[in-house]
Formats: sequence, C-alpha cells, structure tokens
Amino acid sequence: MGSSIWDAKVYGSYSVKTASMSREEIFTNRSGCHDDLNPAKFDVRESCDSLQNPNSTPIIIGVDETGSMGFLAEEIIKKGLGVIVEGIRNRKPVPDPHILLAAIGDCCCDQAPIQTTQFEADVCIVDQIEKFYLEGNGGGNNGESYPVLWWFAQNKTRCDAIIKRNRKGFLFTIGDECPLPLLAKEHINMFMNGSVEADVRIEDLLREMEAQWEVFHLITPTGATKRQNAIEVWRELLGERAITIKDSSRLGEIIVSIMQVIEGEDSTKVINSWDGDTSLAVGSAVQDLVKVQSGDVSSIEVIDV
Amino acid sequence: MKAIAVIGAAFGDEGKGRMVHYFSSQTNDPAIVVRYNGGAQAGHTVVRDDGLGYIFHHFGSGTLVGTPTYLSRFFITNPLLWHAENNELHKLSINPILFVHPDAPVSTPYDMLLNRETELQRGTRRHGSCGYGINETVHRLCESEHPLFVRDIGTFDFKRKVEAIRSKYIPQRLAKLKIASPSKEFQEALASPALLDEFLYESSNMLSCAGTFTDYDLRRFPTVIFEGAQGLGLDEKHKFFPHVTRSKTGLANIVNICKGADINDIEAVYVTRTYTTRHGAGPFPTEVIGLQYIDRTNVKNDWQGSLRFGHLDIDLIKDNVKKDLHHARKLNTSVSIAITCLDQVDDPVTISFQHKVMQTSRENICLVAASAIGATKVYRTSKP
Repeated sequence: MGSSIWDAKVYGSYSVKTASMSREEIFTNRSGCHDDLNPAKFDVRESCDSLQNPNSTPIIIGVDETGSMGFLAEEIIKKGLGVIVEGIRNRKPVPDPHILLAAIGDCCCDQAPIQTTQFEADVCIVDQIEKFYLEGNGGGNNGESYPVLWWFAQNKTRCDAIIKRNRKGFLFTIGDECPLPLLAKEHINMFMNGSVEADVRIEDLLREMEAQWEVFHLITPTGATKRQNAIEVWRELLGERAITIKDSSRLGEIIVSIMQVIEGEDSTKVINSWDGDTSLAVGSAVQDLVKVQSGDVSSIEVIDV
Repeated sequence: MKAIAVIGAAFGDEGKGRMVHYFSSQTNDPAIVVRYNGGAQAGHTVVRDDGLGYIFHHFGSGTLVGTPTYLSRFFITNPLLWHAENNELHKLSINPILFVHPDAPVSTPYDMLLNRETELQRGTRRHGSCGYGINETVHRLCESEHPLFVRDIGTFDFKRKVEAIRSKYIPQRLAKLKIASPSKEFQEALASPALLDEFLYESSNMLSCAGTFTDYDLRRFPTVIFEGAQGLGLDEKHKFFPHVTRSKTGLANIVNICKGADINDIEAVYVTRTYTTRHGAGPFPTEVIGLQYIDRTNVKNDWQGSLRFGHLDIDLIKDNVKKDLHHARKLNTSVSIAITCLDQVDDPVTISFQHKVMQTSRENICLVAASAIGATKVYRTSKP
C-alpha cells in the first residue's frame, strides 16, 4: 500500500466538509471493530517503496479513543492529518511519508482496543479512518494499552525503509493515561492474532524495537494524568521522548517539529519557524529534545587538559 | 572551599586518575584527594609531566604531585595491597601521605581468597569480579557478626577477630556458598600461619603510617577532590545488577561526606573516554565485537577477562548522570564532563546517541555530550 501521492486539495475539501460535523457524524461506525481495521483479521501492514515514493518513511500515529480522549481522533482527522502530511512535504524532515493511523483503547475492557488503517500516502486514508469504532470506554485500571501499538509495529508491519534501507520509522502514541506495564499474551493473541507464549514487558518491547522505530508518546494532560502521575511514568520509560502537549489543536505541527529536531535540525530554528501560538505550543513540546548538531552551546567552556 | 567530584560515567577505566591528577596539580592551595567508594580494586593510571607513571589502587591519584589521600569510611582498605603499593612508591622516591577514617572497613586476605574461589566456581557464568575481595568484604561487613574496621587495628582484640574470621566465618561462608571442596591453593593459604602474621603486621604498619581523620578535618583543606572508583554503570543500584560492584559510584557517598565537612558547593565532573569500555561480563549496549583501541594501562587480569570496546554511548551516560544528580539535591552542584583519549579515535567519531549510531566530528563530540547531560564545562584530553 501507499503507492500514490497526497493531494492537498482533496484533503482540503474533505476538511471543510467535516469541519462543522460532530464526532458522531464523522465516525458513523456503531457496530464494533470493522474487519478492514482489525489486526486480528490481517497478516501485516506494508509500507513499500514505489515509483512515486522511492524513499518511503513509515509513520504510525496512535490516538487514545477511550472516554474523554475521543476528541483526539476527531482532531487528527479534521485538521492534524493535513498539517502532518503537508508539513512533511514542505519541510522535508523525512522523505515520502507513509502514514498509518490507529485507535487505541484498553485491552482489559474494550472490544476493539486496537484498530489500524493501512499505510497510506494519499487522502484515501480518511475513508478508512471513518470506519473507526470509537467505543469511548476505558477502565479504572490506571492505564491504557498504548504499547499494543508498539507490539503491532514490531510484529505486524513490513516496511521497506526498515528492511531495505535500514532507516527507522516513527511511532507516536497520544493520550492522557499511563501505559499498562504488561501486554498479556491472551490479549496479543486475541486482538492481533499473535502466537506469543508469555506476557510481554513493555520495557523489553521498547528495547527490542529501538533499532527499528523512533518511539514517542504525546501526553494530553487531564485529571487522570495527574491522578496516575502519568507524566513521571512516561518520562521514566521514554525520557525526553515523553512529551507533554499543552495545546492539542497543534498536534500536527508538533509531530512535524519533533521529526525535524530528531533528524538533526536546530530546535530553536524549528520553534521559530511557526507563527504565534503554534510556535509556543511547539516550543513547550520540543524544547527538551536534544538535537544532534551543536546548536546553542556557546555557553559551554572547553578546557584542554 | 572548593570541592570537585571526579566520577566515572560508564563502566570504569574512563580516565578518572588522570583528571584527579590534573585537578591536584592545578591548585596552589593545600588540596586533598578523598577516596569515597570501592577499594583497592580500582586501577587509576597517572603519568606525571616528567614521564613518571604509576597505577594507583590504594592511594589517591594526586600522590605523584604530593597531594595527600584520605580514605573515607566508604573505602575498603586492604593492608596487604597498601603495603605493596607503599613500597613501590617509596622505590620511586615518592613519600605518600595518608589519612584514614577509623570506621573504614578492612579487607582480609581471606576475603580475596573467597572471592576468587566463588568466581572460579561460577565457571563461564562469571560476574566480572576483579578478584580483590570487595564483594566478600562487603558481605562480611553487612551480613555477618565478623566485621573488621580500621579502629580495630592495634587493639588487643584485633588478632582474635581476624582469627575468628579465618576459623569460624570462612567455613560458614563456604557452606553457605555450597563450595564443598575448595581448591588446594585455597586450603593451603587459609591454613598458612605466615599469611596471618603478615596480614596482622601490615595492618598495624598501615595504621602507624596513616593519620586518623574524619570528614570534619577536611575543612582544613581549601581544595577537596573526590576520586571515584568504577563508574555509574557499575553502581550497586544500577539496572545491570548483578553485573555491578557493591559500592555507590556516584554522588550518594559524597553528599554524606560533604555534610560532615560543611561543603555546600561542588563541581561534579563526569568522566568518559571518547569510546566505551567494559571489563569482564555484563551488559554493554554499544559493544562492537572486534573493535579495539590502544590501551596502555589495562593488562589482562585473569579474574576480569579482557577489555571490551564499543562506541561512546551518550544515551547511557545521560541516563546515568540524570539518575546520579537525584542524590545531589541538597548540594549546589555544577555539572561538567571530561572526555579523555580524544587522540585515540578517528575523525569523525562514531557515537551512539538518541538510540542511533551516528558520526560526528572530534570537535563536536564534546559539545554533543555536554549538552546531552546539561554540562557547562568540558575538560578534554587529546595528548597521549
């Protein structure tokens, strides 16, 4: 999948169409997980190099669809997606983006805790997103199953960037709660048709995928975040790659900026490249990410011994 | 009063000795080097400007420029190794000055024997111990009724205590470790009256050569240099347990000593080579099998195995430093980084950063590492 090219005009008209629609009007699926999006029903998702996209970069974005977080899916589909794709096309932090969107819930109490689109380079991804079944449940178990998407990325995707060109993909999860520390084998096998024999510790999973994926979590703070001390938990797990988002209407810009900084651009320059409020939102998100090139290091004193 | 803490950022062998020597030779005021962790298993190489070189185990790395050493209560003394080192230094016309805290633990030859015996029994599953008996000494100290301290030396009870370790504690410990038939060398050394006598003699010799001292006495010195042994990656609390050393390799002990010495400000200098090395067994995320740099100081030690090499792991260092700085909340700490052996690597240098292997210039590496750990000063050595 992912052989064509994004058309901003088509997305633009779609965006205009959905702007006035409510969440219920966009996401019309009320009847459980759609087979097309159900990882238990397909083998792998592929991101292949093609004539139009010779250097494809897989980008996986997973949004929390439980309870109060349902707005994230809406935010992404109405506006974020276009910003991300156009931002990548214009700013070129990575070549030829192939985007896969996922909705993530709670394996312990949702019927469909993970639903994913294909990797797509064009607007047809929105047709798939509309099939998302937003349960809006979640549970009082102090966390959501964000790491199911990690397991999915590691075991149910096949990406040319990683296999053929030894380039890493990007993986973002977005939500307000803690990650659940264990992936139960029953859940992996049931929801993603896996065949694992033991529960998976998320630290182990993270370590295993380090060579293939740049993993981030964007925290959209709510009361639950504070109750669960989620920011601390994520920081412990991902370090400065656990990023607190103060303005979720700028998700797209933030994601593009993160990729720019990680690919070596100066974070101050990236922050200043946006206007007003966006610049503020991006600044608070990427300030802790350490750039690779030397930026403002003039205050560091170097002494030869 | 100025305080500098020289701390290994990785797995040891970072060049701490060189940095301590540098700081000792930089100051005109009276300075003192404090050994705040570990014991004589450390091997810190120092080369003086006139070419005189020495590898310090028991004495501080400021010794070649006349800076005295204070063995704090967190340092495990070893009278036999002290004696050997003291002799060697005298032959080089160096007269080392030593102070020791009365509560510093004492390692016996029996701890060393036990340590080697247990590593032997582990066969291929060694933990990477140096064979200096540190682990066994700590165990005896914390979990038995036979601890031994510097303050015991010279009391009428000392000989009886050592005898008790030899005849009561060691057999118990062997049984606990399920070593039914220790090697012949072990049994001979354990039974040897000459070894016991030598240990008793050198213990009192050490005490008579060293002044006793407490943390409070540090206030007489305008410059206090803390010399770490091993590195943060080997700290007893590190996630790489059990491939660690039983000591606090970072700021934890230093904070304790500073409290007693009224020290409020400290410069923490985290030291690393331009690449990463590790002795013996244990996890090593950026290891490159077959990679080798010239190493003039580390001779293969039968107990540790040979030295392993890998890229400079900035992620690991950053993680280690971040965790270490948690201890220093009560001190005013300024963070520095020291990067040694820059002359040994090619330009550009391969490093591991943000979980990626990448290349950067030799010039840039200091700034990348410094900004990663939030350091405001970089010391670098690029002379052999």
